[in-house]
Amino acid sequence: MRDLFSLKNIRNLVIVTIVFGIIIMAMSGYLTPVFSFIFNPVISTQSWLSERYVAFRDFFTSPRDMATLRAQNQALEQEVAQLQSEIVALQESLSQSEILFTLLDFARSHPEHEYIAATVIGREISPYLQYVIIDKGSNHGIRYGMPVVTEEGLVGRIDAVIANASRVKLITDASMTVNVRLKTANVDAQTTGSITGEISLGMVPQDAEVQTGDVLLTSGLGGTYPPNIFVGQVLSMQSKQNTLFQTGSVQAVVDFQGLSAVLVISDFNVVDISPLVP
Amino acid sequence: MIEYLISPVSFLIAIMLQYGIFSRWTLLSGCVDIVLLFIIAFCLHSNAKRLWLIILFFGAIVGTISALPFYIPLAFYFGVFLLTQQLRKRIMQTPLLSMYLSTFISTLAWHGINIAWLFVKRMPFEFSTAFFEILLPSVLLNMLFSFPVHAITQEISRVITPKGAEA
Repeated sequence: MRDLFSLKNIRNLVIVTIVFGIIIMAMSGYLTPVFSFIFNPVISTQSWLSERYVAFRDFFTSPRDMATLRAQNQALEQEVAQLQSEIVALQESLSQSEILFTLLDFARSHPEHEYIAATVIGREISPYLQYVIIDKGSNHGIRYGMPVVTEEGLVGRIDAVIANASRVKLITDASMTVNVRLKTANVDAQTTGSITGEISLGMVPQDAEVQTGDVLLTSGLGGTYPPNIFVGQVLSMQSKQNTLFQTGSVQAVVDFQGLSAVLVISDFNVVDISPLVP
Repeated sequence: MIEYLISPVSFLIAIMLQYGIFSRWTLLSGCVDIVLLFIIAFCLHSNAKRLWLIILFFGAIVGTISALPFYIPLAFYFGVFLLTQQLRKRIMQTPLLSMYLSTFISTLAWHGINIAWLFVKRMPFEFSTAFFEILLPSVLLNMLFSFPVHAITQEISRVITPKGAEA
């Protein structure tokens, strides 16, 4: 019993009591000012140290992140550029498809002939001559003299052929003459091209009553073109008393400047009448 | 040697550009002749010994593609080669002036040949129309385009033959 109240035990009891007292006071919040007083400088120091460490770490690691971001950005830009080029290619394909569908409609509406579709790939180098080059040649069944049309009307005829390309002489060429029929007036006439690509009308009888806007169709005379292909419309007429025929100017129905795709009539047999010409 | 590889490729590109693009760009009815400009610029800057052979070869190519008779572009481009060689000897220090002068003379000559051929073929046309709607716009366009073509060709020549840049 005497050992129980020994000095050592009493000291331990006091220590335990103080510790429990401190714990209870801390849990109940009585020691918060004391803790604040003690820990605030420590926390401030820790914050300062942490901020400096993060800044130091970022200084060394951020270039790596930037490089990664730049690489990703470059990859994305490349992807965008690729997608944009694909969009352009698709738009071109779409416009090409629209042209081909239009040509197909024309071919379906004129089933009496067989057609070979071709793309215009070039224009004559001499500005005085009206020729275009197409991407189909003798390998595709194209032969000299075959008529060339679009969904709008007559374009010209094949002038020269190689294996995979052909040269088309347009009806606007100065050396090109097309036998036509004026639909309303019901008379035969001829159109002639020019060095500037304009078409003039000639060989119209003086007694024919030709109105502006009268439609010109191929007559089939001469055997160079099939009949009833749209050529153009009469823009104006001139009649002089001392001449045999009326003359006029024609608005071509085909846009020869924007010509991009054509149809070659492959089953039309051109009649060569040159031996009969005096 | 590299000049003999680069020049045919450049000529082919010029021909493709002409037939595919520039022949469709018209001012009134005239258009720029990139092939002609390129040949002039190339003749002014190239030091290839057999340049005349390259010119004849490409004259033959253009003659084959064109609706004009085969020999017209062939002879014309060779004439351009001779003209530029003469100008190069006489106006050696100012290649740009030679370029402008050659372009002007060659364009007039080219259109003169075309008109003469139309006469020979008895094609109906008015000289005033040919002059005002085709010849004059073409001369203007060729003169305008001669500077960039000259600059491009000069750069190409500097790359492939450093000596050629001095001409």
